[in-house]
This record gives sequence, C-alpha cells and structure tokens, in this order.
Amino acid sequence: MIVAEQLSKSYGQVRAVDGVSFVVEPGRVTGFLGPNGAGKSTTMRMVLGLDHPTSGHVSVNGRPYAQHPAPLTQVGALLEAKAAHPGRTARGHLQVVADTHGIGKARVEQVLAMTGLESVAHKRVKGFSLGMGQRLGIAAALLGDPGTLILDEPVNGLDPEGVKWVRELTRGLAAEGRTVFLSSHLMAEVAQTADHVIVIGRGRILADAPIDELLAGQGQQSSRLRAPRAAELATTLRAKGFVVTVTDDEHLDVTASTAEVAETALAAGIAVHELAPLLTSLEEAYLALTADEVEYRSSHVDHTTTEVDR
Amino acid sequence: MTATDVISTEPPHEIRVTFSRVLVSEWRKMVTLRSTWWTIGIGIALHAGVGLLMAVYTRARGSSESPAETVNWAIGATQLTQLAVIVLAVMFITSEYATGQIRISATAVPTRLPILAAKTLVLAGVVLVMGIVATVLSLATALAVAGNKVAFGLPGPETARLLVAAPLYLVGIAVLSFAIGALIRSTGGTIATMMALLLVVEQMLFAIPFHLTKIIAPWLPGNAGSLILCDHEQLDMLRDMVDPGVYLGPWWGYVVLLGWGVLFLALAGLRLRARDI
Repeated sequence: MIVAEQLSKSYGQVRAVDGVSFVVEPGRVTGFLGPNGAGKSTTMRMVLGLDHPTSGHVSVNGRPYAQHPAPLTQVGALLEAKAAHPGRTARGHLQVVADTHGIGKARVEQVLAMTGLESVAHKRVKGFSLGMGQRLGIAAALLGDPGTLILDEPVNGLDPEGVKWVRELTRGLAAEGRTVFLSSHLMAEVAQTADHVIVIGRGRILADAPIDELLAGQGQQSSRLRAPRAAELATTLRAKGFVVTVTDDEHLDVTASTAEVAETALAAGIAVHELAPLLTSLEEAYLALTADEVEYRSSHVDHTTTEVDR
Repeated sequence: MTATDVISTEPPHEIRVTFSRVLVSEWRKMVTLRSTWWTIGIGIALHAGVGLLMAVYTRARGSSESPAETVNWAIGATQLTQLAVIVLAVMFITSEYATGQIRISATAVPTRLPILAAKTLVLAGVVLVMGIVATVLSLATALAVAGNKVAFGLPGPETARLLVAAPLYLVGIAVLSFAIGALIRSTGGTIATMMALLLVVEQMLFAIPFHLTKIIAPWLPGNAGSLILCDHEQLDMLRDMVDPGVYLGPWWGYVVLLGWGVLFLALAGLRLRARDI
C-alpha cells in the first residue's frame, strides 16, 4: 500500500509534481497514466526515496521507504530499462543486488527463470536488447519477493509476446494480493492491465477512479437504444432533461443510464427493442482529461490520428 | 521479553540490509567487471616494468651507486602507477551514475551512506593489495636481473618506509580520487581534475616565485602524499624548496593526503544524503 499526501516536487520554477495525493491499494493493478513529462517518473522516484519531495509526504506500508530495514522485500521497482552496469552479466547484476539483503543464489536463479533469462544469464548486459533489459529490471524487482511493485513504463521496448508476458505477470502478482503500481503513457496498455487508474497531467491528479468508471465517462452515462417509435420516445426523454441524438428512424443516443431509459420508456408505454450502455473508450476519456494538460504539442492536433504525446 | 524471545524473532538468515552485506555487494561489483582486472593488471605491469628497466640499467652500468637506489626499484614507477589507480577509483563510483546502476543501488540501500563507506573500504583494500603485489613483483624481478651486483637496503627505518610507501601512497590517491568522483559524479570530469591537480597544478605552484605559493603548495594532496615515496636525499632537496615552516616530512605528508581524502569523502557523503539520485 502506497500513500502519498500533498506530494510536490519543484525544479527551480517548474513544479514537476504539484500537491499530489493518492492511495495505491493492494490486490489490484493501479495504472498511473499521463503524457510524457506529466510527473509520473518523478512521483515514483519520490515513493522510493530517490528524489526528495519539495513538500508533502509519501509512505510505503506505513513508513517512508528508506526506513524499512529490508526495502527490497517491501517494494520491487523497475524505473528504467537497462539501469545495470553493461559490463556485468545478468546473473552478476542480480547477485550484486541480492547481496545487499543476504538474498541467496537460489532466489537469483528463481527470478532468472521467472523472467525467461536463464539462457542469457551468463551474458553481459552490454549486448542486451531493450526488451531483455526490461526483463532484467523486472527480475531485480522480484528478488525480494516484495508485496508492492512499482513499474515505470514496463512494456516499453517489449515485443508483443513480452507485452503479453508483463500483462499476465502483473495481473498474477495483483491476484496474489500484492500492490502493483504501473505507469504508462499508453491508454490502451492501462485499459488492458489496470483495475484502477490515476491520471496525472502537468503534475496534478486529474482522475483517480476504477477503470470501469473512467470508461463510463466520469459519471456522465450514455445509452444507445433501438425502438420502433423512436421519435416519440425522443420527445419524452427530452422532456425529462436528457440530451438525445437521433441517429436514424429507430436509433437514439441518450445521455442517460440504461436504467433511466428503461424506466422512462415503461412509464410512457413505449417498447424498446435494444438498449445498451454507451461506453467511452479510455482513450477518449484520457484525451478529454489531459487535453489542457499536455506540456508539449504540435499546433495542429488531430485527435483521430495523433497520439497526444508521441 | 526474555532472551529466547529475542533470539526466536531473529532467524539466522534474516533477509535485511546489513553493512557487511553491503560490503559483499560492493566487493562483487568490483571483481565482476573485466575493466577492474585490466586496470589493475596495467597498473602492476607499469610498476614492475619500470622497476625492471631501472634494474637493467643498473646491471648494464655495473653496480648500484647506493643501496637506496635498489629500494627505489620498489617505488620508482608509482607516479605512473597512480594513473591506473585513479581510473580504477573514479570508475568505481562514476560508472554507477553513468549507467543508472546508482538508482538500483540506492533503492536496495536507501540510507545511501553505507554504499559510500563500503565502496571506500573495498577500494582501499583492493588498491593496498595491488600496491603490495606491484612492489613485490618489481623488487623480485629487479633483483633477479641485477643479481648480486647490488647492495640491498639501508640501515635504519628508511628502508622499511620505502618498501611500504607505494602501496600506502596509492591507497591515499585512490580514496581521494574516489571521493572527488563521488562529488563530481562524472568520469571524464573527475579523471581530468585529478590529473590536472596531481600532474600540473601542484607542480606549477612550486615554480611560481611567490612566497604564498611556497606555503600552500606543500599542503596539497599530491605534494604532501608523495613525500613518503622519497629517500632522504630527495627529501633534503624538497625541504630546501619550501618555506622551512611548512616542511611536513614523509609521514605527516601522508597524513595530509589521507586528510584530503577524508574531507572530500565527508563532502561526498553530505551530497549523497541531501541530493536526488
């Protein structure tokens, strides 16, 4: 469990993280979503005590990270790919990290197997691809069998198989009751993996909600229906204050929940043949949330073809 | 709570950070890099190689002029050997910053200072052994070449001092280079700083004919530390070059070198604690 309270970090005049408060709960995957430069990595580094907050406070399992006598058993972290000395072998790198806690060789071999690195364990990190570097970083994070995992952009540079592996791994770790906190600038990635999403833009929290809620459109629910007497139903719904879009003779989109539509139709005695909630994609929700918060963008932003931060 | 309770709550292989474990980790960091062995190998080869050349020269000339000359084979190349030691010491800390390894290290040991302390001890130990091996190898090969044409050693404590001078001096230089590396955090910047300091700045100060520089120069780390490498003839010469009030002598000179190392280590420790990684 990670608890951040009013966490801020300034670099000179720039407030990279600005009064951020959130809780990352155990037993689920919490996505940390935001454009590049939004403050994700800085926040994660503050959780790990690598960066000192300008103000505010963050704790892991009840105390600051640095005050744990065996920090690697509390939190495993992947901050950047290939944060290992290129001249050391994969096994040597993991052993060096394990040594600090008295973690034995058997566990090193275990995490090498878990991350599929056995065949390259004797090779120097110098020759590793980005994907292998990510696997090595995840192996190091797992060394202490920690209850909390902090993964900064874990699928960066991975091939499709690697992406699938990370997804399954993180979901599996959360299912074991661990806290998983993973950042990404890719909405699709978070939608596939996370149960809960914290959206950050320009150092501020823009949303902190279960992924379903975010997909449903931040409380604003919509429905799509088909009814033979659509025009009549549209008038009734408008009279109740909902916004109705008539798509054709029989189809309507309404800014009301399916329950509200069904109740209204029943009361008016109008048959409804099809009724479904209209889900916003996470991408749309994300773009709507971060539209004003992107630090850099080209002057002609076309949301249908351009990803916000790449 | 009874004593048995305390024991039962702490199993023998409890997984947690201890200083001795950080030492093991830093030791493994040192020995698992090929560059470590290359650097040490080159340093020893330089040291022994120059000793050998001096011996060959002596043999060709017929005999050594003084027994002190023979002992000097053990330390003759130290000013060269120190270049390898500087590279080894600086890389031991700056490579952590260059490769991002420091974030892994500081995540595993978030109190940070044990990393600096353990690195210093491992480095000092490795360089001490390297210096001893280099000295023994120089003397052994040199004596083998020069054969019985030389008188070995001087009466009195000077021989003993000269025999241990190279390893001790190299340890002092290693600690200082390491500490400055921990402050600057850049490989190139630190190596350039150390070379400029030891090979240029300190020497030049002696050449500037101001009285003030004659007072300051002897206190600088390279000038003070290298006194331990000098025999009595060289010491007499150096004594005449400086203000009589600031002549340190070999042992106090060495203490001054160590003092510089400790001072910069303390500054590096403060920076490591206070700054972001």
